[in-house]
Amino acid sequence: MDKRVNKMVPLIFDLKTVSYVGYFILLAFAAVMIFFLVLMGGAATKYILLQTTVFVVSVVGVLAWILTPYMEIVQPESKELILSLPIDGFKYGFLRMLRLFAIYTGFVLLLLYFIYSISDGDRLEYGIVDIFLIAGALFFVSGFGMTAFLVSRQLIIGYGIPILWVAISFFYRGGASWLWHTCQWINPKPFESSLKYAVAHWLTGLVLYVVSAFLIEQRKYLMR
Amino acid sequence: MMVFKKILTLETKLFIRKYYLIIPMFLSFLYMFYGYCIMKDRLDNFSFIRTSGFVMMVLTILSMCFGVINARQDKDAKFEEVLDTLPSTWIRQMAKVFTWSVCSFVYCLVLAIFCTVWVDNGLNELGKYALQVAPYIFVNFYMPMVSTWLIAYSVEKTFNPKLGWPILLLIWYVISPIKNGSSGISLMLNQFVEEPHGNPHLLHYGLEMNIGLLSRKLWFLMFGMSVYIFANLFRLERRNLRNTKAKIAGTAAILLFIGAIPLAAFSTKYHSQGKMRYLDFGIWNDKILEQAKERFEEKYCNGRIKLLHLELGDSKGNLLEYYAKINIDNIKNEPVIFTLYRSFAIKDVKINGTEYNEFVRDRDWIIIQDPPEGEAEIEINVSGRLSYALGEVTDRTLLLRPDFPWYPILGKHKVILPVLTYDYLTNNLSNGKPYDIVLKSHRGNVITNLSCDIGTEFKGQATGPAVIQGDYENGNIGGIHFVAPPSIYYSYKEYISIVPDLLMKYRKEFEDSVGIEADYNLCDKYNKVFLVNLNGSMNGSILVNQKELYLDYSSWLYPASEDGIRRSCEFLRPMFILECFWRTGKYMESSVAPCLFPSLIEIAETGEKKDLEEYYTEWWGEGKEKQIVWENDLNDIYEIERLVKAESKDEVSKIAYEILRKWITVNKSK
Amino acid sequence: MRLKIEGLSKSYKKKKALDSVNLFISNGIYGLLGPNGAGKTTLMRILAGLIAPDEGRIEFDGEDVLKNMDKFRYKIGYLPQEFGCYKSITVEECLDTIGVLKGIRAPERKKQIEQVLAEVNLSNEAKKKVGALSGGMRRRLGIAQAMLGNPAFIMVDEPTAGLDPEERIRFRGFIRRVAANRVVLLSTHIIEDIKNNCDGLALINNGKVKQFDGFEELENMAKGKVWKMVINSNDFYKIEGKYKILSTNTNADNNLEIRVYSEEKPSEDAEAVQPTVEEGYLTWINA
Repeated sequence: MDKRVNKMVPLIFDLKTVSYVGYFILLAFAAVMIFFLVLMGGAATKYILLQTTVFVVSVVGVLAWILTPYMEIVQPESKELILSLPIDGFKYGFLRMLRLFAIYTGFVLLLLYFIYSISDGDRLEYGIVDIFLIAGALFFVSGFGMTAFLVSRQLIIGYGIPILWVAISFFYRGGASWLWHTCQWINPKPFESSLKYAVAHWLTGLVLYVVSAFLIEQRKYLMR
Repeated sequence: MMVFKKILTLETKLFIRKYYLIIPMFLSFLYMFYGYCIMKDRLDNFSFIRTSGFVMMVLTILSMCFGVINARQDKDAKFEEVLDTLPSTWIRQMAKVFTWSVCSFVYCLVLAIFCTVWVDNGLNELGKYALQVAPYIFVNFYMPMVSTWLIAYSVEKTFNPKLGWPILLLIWYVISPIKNGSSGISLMLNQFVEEPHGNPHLLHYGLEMNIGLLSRKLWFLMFGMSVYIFANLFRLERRNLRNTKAKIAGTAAILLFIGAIPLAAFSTKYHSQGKMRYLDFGIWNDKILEQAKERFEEKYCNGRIKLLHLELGDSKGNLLEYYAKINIDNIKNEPVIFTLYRSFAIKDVKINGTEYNEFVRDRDWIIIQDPPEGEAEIEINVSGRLSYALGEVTDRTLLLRPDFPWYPILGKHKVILPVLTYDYLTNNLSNGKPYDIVLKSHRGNVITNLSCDIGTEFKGQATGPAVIQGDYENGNIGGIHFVAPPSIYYSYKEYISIVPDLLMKYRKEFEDSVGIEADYNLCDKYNKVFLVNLNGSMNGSILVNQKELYLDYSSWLYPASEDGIRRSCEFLRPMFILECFWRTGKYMESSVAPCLFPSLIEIAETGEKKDLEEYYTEWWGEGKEKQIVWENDLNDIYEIERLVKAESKDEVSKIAYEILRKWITVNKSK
Repeated sequence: MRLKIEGLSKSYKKKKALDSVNLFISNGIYGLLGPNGAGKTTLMRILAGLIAPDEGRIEFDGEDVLKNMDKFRYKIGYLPQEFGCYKSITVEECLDTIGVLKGIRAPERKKQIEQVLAEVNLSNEAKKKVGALSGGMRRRLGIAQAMLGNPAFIMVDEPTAGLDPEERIRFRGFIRRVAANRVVLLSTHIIEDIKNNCDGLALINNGKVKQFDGFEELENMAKGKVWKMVINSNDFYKIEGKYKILSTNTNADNNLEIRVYSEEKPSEDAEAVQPTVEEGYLTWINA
C-alpha cells in the first residue's frame, strides 16, 4: 500500500490536477484587469469596478480551485479506488482544502493589494478588516461548495448552490443572508461594521470544512 | 402511451431521490413565508410576491441543476448505451420534459396555494386572489423553470461542462430580474417582472398579468423547447437518423424558433403598468406643457346642465370609450361650448335625436354653432386615451376625476394650467352647482362619487362624475364614503374620520392666519375620502373636489395609527391649502403662484426663507433667460424678490401672508 | 446469410476504425475476436445504431438496416461492454422499462421477464435494487435485458466479463440455447469464450476483418510455425530473447516444456506441433 496517501497529497499533484481550471481562472483575472484598466481607461469608477469584478471572479474561482482535486471522490471510475485507500478526513480533507484555500487566497489578496496600490482614483478600502473579510468570504464559499458537493455527490451542485448564495448576497445586498452577506466588501450593508460579517464567515467556513472532512470519511454514503 | 407512462414513472422516481435539490425548493416556501411576515405591515398584500425575484433566481438555478443532472444520469448509470439502442427515443425525451413539467407544476401549485392564503390574510376572498396569484406564479415562476431546465439539459448534452456550465451561468445571469437594464434586449431576456423591487403604485392593480408580460416568458419557453429538440437531433444526427420522426421534430423546432422571434420582439418593450406610467410622462409631458402655455380666451358658458347620462364602453387596454347624453336648458341663441380634453375624439353628435355634423372640435372644446334655443338633448360618442398625469385607464383600472374634462363639461374652460415653465396642473372644472348624473358601466363594477355602492349603474347628484375601478374596498364609515385598496381600507377604517376633521381644522387655521372668512363655495364637511392612485405629478398627493378628498394611497402604506395619520395630514397640508384656496376653478394667469404657494405657507408660518433665495436666484439669476409664462408673473416675481430681500422673520412672515392673500382665488369677505 | 455487412468503413479523424469490413453471418453464435482498439466495439455500435458508418451497407434478412434502423431496433438485443442501470430501481423495474421501450405488451412482458430472469438465475433478485447487485449479477442482468423481446439478432460485447467460472458455464449453455434460430454476435478478446461457444469467428485488427469458416482454418495459419521444446529453466532467458514463447509448462522432470513460434525450426530437438486457436490468432495478428 502506498503510505503516502496517509500524509498530505503532494502539492504538485494538486496543482497538476487543477491544471486547465487554474489556467482558466488566471485568464479570467487577466481579462478583467485588461478590460477595466485598458478598455475602460477613462471611467472614474474603474478601480472600484475592477475590485468588485475581481472579487466576484475570485469567489467563483475558489470553487473551481477547491472542488476540482476532489472530483475523483465522486466520479464512478475513480471513487472505488480512492475510497478504498486509507485516506483520512483530516489530512486528505481538511488540511488539503486549507492548503489549496491558502494558496488561492494569498494570490487573490495579493492581486487585490496590487489593484489597490496602483489605483489613483476612487477605490474600495483595503485595510486589515477588509482582508479578513475577503479571506473569510472565500473560506466560507469554499467550505459551502465542498459540503454541497459531498452531500449531493454532484459537481454542479457544488458550484451552483454557492454561486446562487453569492448572487443573492450581491443583488440583494445581503437581504435575508443575515450575517452571511458574502459580498459585504463590495456591496456593504449601510451602517454595518464589516468585522462581524468577517467573523461569521470564518466561523461558518470552519464548521463547513469540518463537516466536509467528516463527509469524506463516510465511504458508504459516498459509494452510493 | 405505454412507453410514455413508464418513462414518466421512472423519471419521477429518480426525481424524488434528488433530495439535495428538493430541499432547497421547499426552503423557498419558508423564504416566501418569511417575506410575507416581514412585509405584512406594508399594507400591500402582494408586496412579498412582487419582490420575490430572489426566489425566481433560486428556482431557475435549481431547474438548471436538475436539467444538468438529468442529462447526465443515464451516462453516469452506464445505461445510456443500452437506452440509445432501444426504440421510442423521442417519446423518452418527451416524457423527461413532461416529468419535469409536472414536478415543477406541483411545486408552483403548492406555492400558489400558500401565496393565495397569505395574500388573503383573513379577508375570505380566496377565489378573487387565487385568480390573480395563480397565473402570476405560473407565468413568472413555472415557465422560467421549465425553460431553464430545457436549456440546461440541452447544453449539458451538447457541450463539455467546462464550456457548458459557464454558458448556463451566463444565461442565468441575463434572465434574472436584478440587472437594472432598460435596453430592449435586457427587457426581452428578463424572465421575471419589470420592477423586481416592487412598485407602491400597483396596489389597486393587483398582480400584473398581460399579454406583453406573458410573451416574454413564452418566447423563452419556445426557444428552450426548440433548443431541446435541436440538441436531441444533433445527438441523433451522429447516428445518421434521418427518419420521419426526426423530420417532424426538426420542423417543430424550426417553427418554435421562428414563432419565438415575434414574441421576443414584442417583449422588448415595457408592459408593466408601473413602467409604462413612467414612460407615459416622457411621451405626454412636452405636449401637455405646450397646452398649459396656450393663451386663454375668455371664459364662456351658454346653458345650464340638467342631466348627464354616461355609459362607459368595455374597450380594452388604455382606450376609453363612452356614450354621453347631456340635457341642457336655458340655452340662448349663441353657440354651446363643451370642454372635453383634446385627446378624446368625437365619433358623432346628435341633437334632440338628429345627427349633427356641423360641430367644431377645436383643441379642448366642442363648439355647437347653432343649437336650438331653450332646451336640448345632446348625445356624443367619445373615444380616446389619456395620459397617466390626467387620469388612469387600463384594462383593469380606472381613475377618472370629476374636476377634469374626461367627460363633456358645459362651458369653455382652460384645462391645463402652467406651473412656471416646466410643470403643469389641471384646472378644477367641477365647481358649479351639483346636477343629476346617471352612470352605467359596461366594463364591470366601478365605484363612483354618486353612491356608496360598488356596481354598474349609479344615479345621484354631483358637480361631476368620478369613476374608480380596481382592487378597492368601498364603504360608509360613520357617514364618510371611504374608498381604498383592501389592506389600507381595513387598517384605516377605524381612524378615517380623523382626516376630514383635521383638514377642516387646517383650512380654518389658514383662513384665520391670512385674514379671510370662509367662502360660501367651500364645503363645511368632507364626506368622501378616496385613497386612490394619483400619479405623483404636481397635484399628485391630494385633490379636493367639493366634499370629496382624493389622496394618493402610496403615502398611506403603513399600519394606521392616530399619530401616523396626523403626520401624513400635516405633510399634505400645504398642497391641501393650495387645492382649497387656489385651484378653485377661477382662472388666474399666474404660473408662479401654483409653484410657490405651498412653500410660502411654511415661510409665512415660520418666518424663515429656507432655500427661497437660492431657488429664486437660480431661476431668475443674471444672464439666464427669464422664465415666465405670463406677463402677470412679473408682478409675482417682484413680490418674491421683495420677500427674498426681507430681513427679519416678522417681515418675512408679513410679506408672505400678503402674497398668499393676493394669490388666493376664493372670495375674501374680510 | 441473415446478416450481411459489406464495405463498412468508419474513421475518427485520421484513424480508420473500420476499413471496408465484410461479414456474412447466419443463425448461430459468431465470435468477433481482436485485441483492444481493433474496432470491435465500433462495429457493434454501428450495428446497434449508435453511430453512423462513413460508407457501407448492412442487410438483415434482406432489409437495409441503415435505412430502417427504427424498425431494426425492435429486432436487436444489445449488451454493451459497460452496462449499468439506475441504482435506485429494482431488477424487475429495470427489465420492465426496457421491455416497455421494446414495445412488449403487459402480460407478455411479465412472462418474458420471469423467463429471462430464470435463464440468468436472477429470479431471487427480482425485487432487489440494481445498486445492491454484485458486478456479476449486473452482467447477468445485462444479458437478461438483451434477451427481452425475443430479438432476432443479439450482440454481446465482452459477455463474460465479471462472471465467475460457474456463471460462465451457465452462460455458455444459455447462449447455445438462444442461438438456435438467432444470430448471436459475441465480441471478446478472450479466446476461451470463442472456442467454447462459437460456430464461426472473425478476427479484427486495425479495422480490418477476416472471416474464418471454422477454428481449423485459423489454427492452420500457424501450421509449421509452432514448435515444442523441452529446456532447462536456466536456458529460458536465452530462448525468450530469440523466439516468441507461446506457453510454458513444467513437466515431471522439472524441466520447462515450452511452445515457441518460429518460421524455422528453432533447434534440433524442437518438435512441430499442431497449433492451437490462440497460436493461429497470434499469427494472424502479427502478420
